[in-house]
Amino acid sequence: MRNSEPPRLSTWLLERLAPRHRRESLVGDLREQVHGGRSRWWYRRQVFGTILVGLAADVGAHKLLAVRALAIGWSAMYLVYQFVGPLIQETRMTLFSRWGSALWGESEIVRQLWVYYGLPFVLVTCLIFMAIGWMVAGLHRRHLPGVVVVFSATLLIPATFQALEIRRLLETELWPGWECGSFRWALLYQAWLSIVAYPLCLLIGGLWTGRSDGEAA
Amino acid sequence: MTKHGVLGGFELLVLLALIRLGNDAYGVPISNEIEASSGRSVSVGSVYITLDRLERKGLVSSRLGESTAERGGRAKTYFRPTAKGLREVRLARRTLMRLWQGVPQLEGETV
Repeated sequence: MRNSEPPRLSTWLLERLAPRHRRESLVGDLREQVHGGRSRWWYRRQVFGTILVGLAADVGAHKLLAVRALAIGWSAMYLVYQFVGPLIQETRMTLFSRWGSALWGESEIVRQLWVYYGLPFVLVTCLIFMAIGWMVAGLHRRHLPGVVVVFSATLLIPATFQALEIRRLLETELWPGWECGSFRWALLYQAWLSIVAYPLCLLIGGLWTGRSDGEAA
Repeated sequence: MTKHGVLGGFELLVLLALIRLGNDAYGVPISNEIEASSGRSVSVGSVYITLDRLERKGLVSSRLGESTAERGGRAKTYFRPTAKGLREVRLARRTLMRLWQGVPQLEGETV
């Protein structure tokens, strides 16, 4: 039997990123078409195209607001980097040196999750990124999707430099214990965090504001 | 007259589709009409953005319509060309016709 319900993820994205002014009608129109026999792929293509042109129009019409959002967002990032970053690092080192073996016991996997992947601290960093995205979106409610997406996309600039540096490190093969591979994976994991996870956290934090705003409306 | 004196290409297509569909056309039928005429895929989003721009220029007007269960309770937005919109389309047609005439490279061509 053919599924006449539109794909949920696409609808979720559409409800948050489509042009605000016509969002309700757009979602209804596309949903009606799927019920009328259009394929789910057609729906996904329409959602993708709609979001893309909507964001471009949104940012194009409010360039100064986009610049202001970037200035606020990156200032917040700088403050976090200056004051919260060292605190996290210090806490991490203290935990390692004082209670390291107690934390990971005999388990090599848990040890690597702490030492190489810094898992609990990455979660804290993700929450900080979400909070910054939420704050930037909250200050630009009327033009929220475009502003949040542009801000998230700018994270890819430093992430690209970091990825290039990681690639250089991966090619050197001069590190002690290089052969075992764990450190290589940890480096790739760092690149993944910068390119995928952190921009995504920022986006989710920003769109969270959009959701609560939309529900209120 | 619009801001730059002439309608943009896609604006003209949207207005023409709107006129062809009659009053009270909404997003998807408009994009379907353009797709059927041009043979090119059109995103409903770009149609809505163009309709918004045309509304700001005073060339179309909109009103909220009914919401149905198959639309998930979301209301339609109906659009219709204003008198100014119709004038602009006629003006665009005259301009295009004048430019078309007397160009040997375009004579005798059929699409």
